[in-house]
Amino acid sequence: MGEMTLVFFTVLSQLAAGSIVTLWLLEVNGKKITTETGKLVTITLLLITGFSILISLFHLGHPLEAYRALTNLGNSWLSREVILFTSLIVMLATYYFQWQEGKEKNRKVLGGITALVAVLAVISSGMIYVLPARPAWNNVGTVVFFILTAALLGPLYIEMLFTIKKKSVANLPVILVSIIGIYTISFIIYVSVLISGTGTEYQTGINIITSSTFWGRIIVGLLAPFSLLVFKSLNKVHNSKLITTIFLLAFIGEILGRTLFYSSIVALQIAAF
Amino acid sequence: MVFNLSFKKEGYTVTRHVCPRNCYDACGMLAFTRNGILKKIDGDPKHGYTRGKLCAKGYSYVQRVYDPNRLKYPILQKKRGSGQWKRITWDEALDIIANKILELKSRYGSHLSMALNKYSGNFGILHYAVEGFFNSLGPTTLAVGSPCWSAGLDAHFYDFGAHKTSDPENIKNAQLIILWGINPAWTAVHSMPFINEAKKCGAKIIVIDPVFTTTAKKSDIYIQVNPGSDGALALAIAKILLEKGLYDKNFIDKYTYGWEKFKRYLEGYDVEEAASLCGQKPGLIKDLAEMLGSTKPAFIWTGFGLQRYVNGGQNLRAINALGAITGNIGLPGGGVHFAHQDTWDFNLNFLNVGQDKNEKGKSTRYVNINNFASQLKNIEDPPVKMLWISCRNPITQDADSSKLLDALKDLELIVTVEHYLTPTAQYSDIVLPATTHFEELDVVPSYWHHWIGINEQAIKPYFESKSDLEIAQLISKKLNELSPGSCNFPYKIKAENILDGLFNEKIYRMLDIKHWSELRESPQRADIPFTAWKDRKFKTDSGKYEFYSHNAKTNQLPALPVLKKGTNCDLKYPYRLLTPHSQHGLNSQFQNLRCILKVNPEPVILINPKTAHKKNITENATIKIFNNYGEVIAKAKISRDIPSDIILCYQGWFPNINFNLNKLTPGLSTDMGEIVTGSKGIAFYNVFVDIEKI
Amino acid sequence: MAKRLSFLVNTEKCIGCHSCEMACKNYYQLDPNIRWRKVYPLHEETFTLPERNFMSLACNHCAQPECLRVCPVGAYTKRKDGIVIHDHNRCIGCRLCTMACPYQVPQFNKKYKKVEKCNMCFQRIDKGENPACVDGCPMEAITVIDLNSFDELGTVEAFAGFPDPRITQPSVRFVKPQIGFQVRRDR
Repeated sequence: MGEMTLVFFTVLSQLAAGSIVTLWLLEVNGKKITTETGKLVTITLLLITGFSILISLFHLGHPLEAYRALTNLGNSWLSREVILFTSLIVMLATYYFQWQEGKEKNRKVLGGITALVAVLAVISSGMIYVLPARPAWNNVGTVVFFILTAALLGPLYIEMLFTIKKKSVANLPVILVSIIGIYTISFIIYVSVLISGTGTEYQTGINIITSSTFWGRIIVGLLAPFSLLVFKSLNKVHNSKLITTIFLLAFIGEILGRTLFYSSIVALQIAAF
Repeated sequence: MVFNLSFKKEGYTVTRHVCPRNCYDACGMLAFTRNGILKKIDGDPKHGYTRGKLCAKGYSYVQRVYDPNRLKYPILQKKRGSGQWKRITWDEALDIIANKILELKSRYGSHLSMALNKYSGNFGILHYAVEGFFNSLGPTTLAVGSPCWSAGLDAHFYDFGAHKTSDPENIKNAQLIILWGINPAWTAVHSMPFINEAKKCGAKIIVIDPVFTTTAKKSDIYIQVNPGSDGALALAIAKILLEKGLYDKNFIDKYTYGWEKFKRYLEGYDVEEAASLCGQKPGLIKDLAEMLGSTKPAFIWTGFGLQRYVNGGQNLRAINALGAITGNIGLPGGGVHFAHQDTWDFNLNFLNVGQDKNEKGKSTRYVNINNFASQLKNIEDPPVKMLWISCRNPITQDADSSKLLDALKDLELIVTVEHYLTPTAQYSDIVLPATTHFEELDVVPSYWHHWIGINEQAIKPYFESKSDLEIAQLISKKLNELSPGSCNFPYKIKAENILDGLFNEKIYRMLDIKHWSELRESPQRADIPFTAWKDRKFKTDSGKYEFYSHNAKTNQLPALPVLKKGTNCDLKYPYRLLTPHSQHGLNSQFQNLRCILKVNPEPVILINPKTAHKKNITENATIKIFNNYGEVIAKAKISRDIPSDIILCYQGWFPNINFNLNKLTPGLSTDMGEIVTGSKGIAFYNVFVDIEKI
Repeated sequence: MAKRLSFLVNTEKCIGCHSCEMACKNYYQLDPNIRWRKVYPLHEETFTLPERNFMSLACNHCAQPECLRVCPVGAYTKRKDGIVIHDHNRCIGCRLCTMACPYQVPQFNKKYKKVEKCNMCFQRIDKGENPACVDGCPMEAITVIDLNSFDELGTVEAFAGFPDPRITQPSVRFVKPQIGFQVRRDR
């Protein structure tokens, strides 16, 4: 479980990134969001992002020297990730202060920039793992799944907070159902490609499907939220308990999924096996 | 003599050493010390055989010296085997030991109830202080013999009358090299470059071994034989040499004895039967014989493994005969090599051997080290009540260890001198911490190459550890305090002065030095012929190489090298168990070090894929090997190194793992051994087992 | 002209004795769990050759080192002679290089919480000496060569089972083992 810090860092930061983008998109698309709600959302996202970065430091052997990680921007995606997440924190803080009456215009521009930084930060996280030495990661899948985590948890988080605030976004659950659909299909394609491959890809694929974590993550993180979201949409239930349950299930699913991401990987080896 | 043994290099104090383990190579090493701490080890470039290189074990010595599990203080065990240890002072330890010695003396009227079991954990000559101390008490009970090489030494004694080898560098001159039951790639790495060099110059390398060893991999021709059938093969080759006239008539006529009788024996020898015994085809044996008969010089190197059979000595005599028939003995790059004893002629007078009779006419009881357990159990008048163990770990290394454990129960005091808490130390009452060869002065010869080197003291003894010599002196002193005159082992004399006494003119002349302290400048090659038996003056009674040995006949052995079959498996235990030396350990040493465990973390049982299939065993499955004597459990490794009727485990001691292969060894005797070492060897490889998945 | 220093490992000479590995450990007094050089046994399953061949590998000082590419703190530098050095002082222990190296060369030291690896004994090289592993090998199976001037005839870049050299262009060459004649018995 040596990678648990990374599991929480990536999932939480992607949750935050997804939420920022969702919030910004909603406002740009004309959704009325009160400054109170906006403040609540952005402050929690600021905390979540900050917390996730803090956790990530504990992955380092020497957390206090993390500042040095900016030195290799020219080559290292990890350096780029560090600068993007630092920028994200700054942007989120600025964005937070735009949630005041009369700052809608600034807010939309700054929100857009913040959303862009958030997306780039998630992409940089993914790119770190695109390593030729780990063939199962060395493809577009890594970045796609990091973005899908953001795309699933972000809107769910927003929907949950809005519901708690007695507001709701009518079509978000429908969008979420389709995101889960896309997620599931991408996952099936990815695992099938791995298993039809050879060498370390094949072994990684086998590691994934033979792991109980895999089936746990499918049921808890995809099937259960999917069913509950369909139920919610069909029955038009606006219950904060239900949406909180769905969010937590999806979150746990993502944590399991990310744990599996790190534990199933088979790196290239010398004179292997 | 002024003592300033070390020199300085790059801020390090550098001292000279020789690895004192029971190993062919006895490497010259340099120790680099700074601020009293051993920092690193290097090979000694002045050592002509090891040439500045060490093996993996050698390079691990700093770890061995400073391993956190190394014993620091004398410890006393509350109840034997309980694991409840208490640190005691040296004085307390010496008190307990000395009082026990004196009490036993007054109870039985002699020291015969005190037994010593010591062997090859450290081959430094000052370690004979332990024997010296025992002899200084008067008659005691001493374990004699060797679990290692006895049968082979006797075989060479019968054939050659003495033990000589060419310098290993001489291998370079060979045109044909037969590595017979020897795996120098694991057990004598420094000889491998010479083999390679010969190969580069066109020599053919043949490896004859039941196991596909690393050396076999490096050979031109690998021939897999049935364990213990080497003699059958050698005699078959001899017969073909005879038939085809490929023998050296001049050599035979001039330098051998008993050829006519041997010839007659060979005429009646059945090659077909021999071939089936060794699991090979007669055609192959013919090819081998033709190669040997037509290529000169041929260097035959026989290992220790192939004499650890009930017919081991005979097998070796048969192989020796090949060297004589082909006239290879005494040729540069030729000959049959086993081990030599040419550089061991020290004045071991501090052994005090003369004192082994007391005034009541009792004399020292010698018990067979290879049958130690039974003898310990059965010996009477007086029974053994106290046991001293040094340079040994008999509980994992002696045959039938369950019996040994049982025999030890009746003892009143067991003292073990050790670096680590080995299984033997764990079953002792008092364990005394020993110094390593970086903490004591010593001199170490070799039984393979012809170099002698010194062990200077590089660092202070680790915590309260002491050398065997110092311990012997301390007890002698204590005994004399308690009962003046009870022990005359000299305890006031310094190690340096004892060495003065051990060296003699012959050794100095051989090494071309005036004083042993000159060894600090460089290890020295003994001035003995580069080619063994070059003068062809054999040390036998006839002065010739003896195909026919009257001495052997006197000892109820066949006078000629003849076919003697070993023991075979039965239906109950259908697999032969081979337990050769491991690559990363030396007997039970080294394998416990963390850096070695990283390379070789656990013991494995090697089985052939066919056996695995038959027994439904998969790689890494936990399996059990067992016979009447006991069982051993470990993981399976499926390997084509061995045929399907052999199970192979490398011997050694893994800390915290219950893996004692000698639980399975009944301890049958080899056919020879009592002449040179005092008792027959152990037939370690006449062991049969069955396996099953658990 | 710049050098491209490389290890040449003669697997025909190599007897798998691990002396190189231990000589390295001895020289630097490495933690028992850290192996800057490792001896790999090559198995029959992945190789067409019989068992008991060995491959001794340390850092391959690649032409395109992945460790250097991914390291966020720039702890890795490649010298003009091709040696890839890891600066222990800069390292913050993120371990990304341990994931990125196809040869598992950088290893995380739990005691120092930093990564470390073989530096081809560059201080010894600068003094005109051999690396410790080269000097420690009883078979003289390891040598340091300059790939820019070395005639690679008779050597290979990789064996089956050796990660694709195209990824990082490792500066290592091997002399292949030969197979003798084997007369096995089996009943």
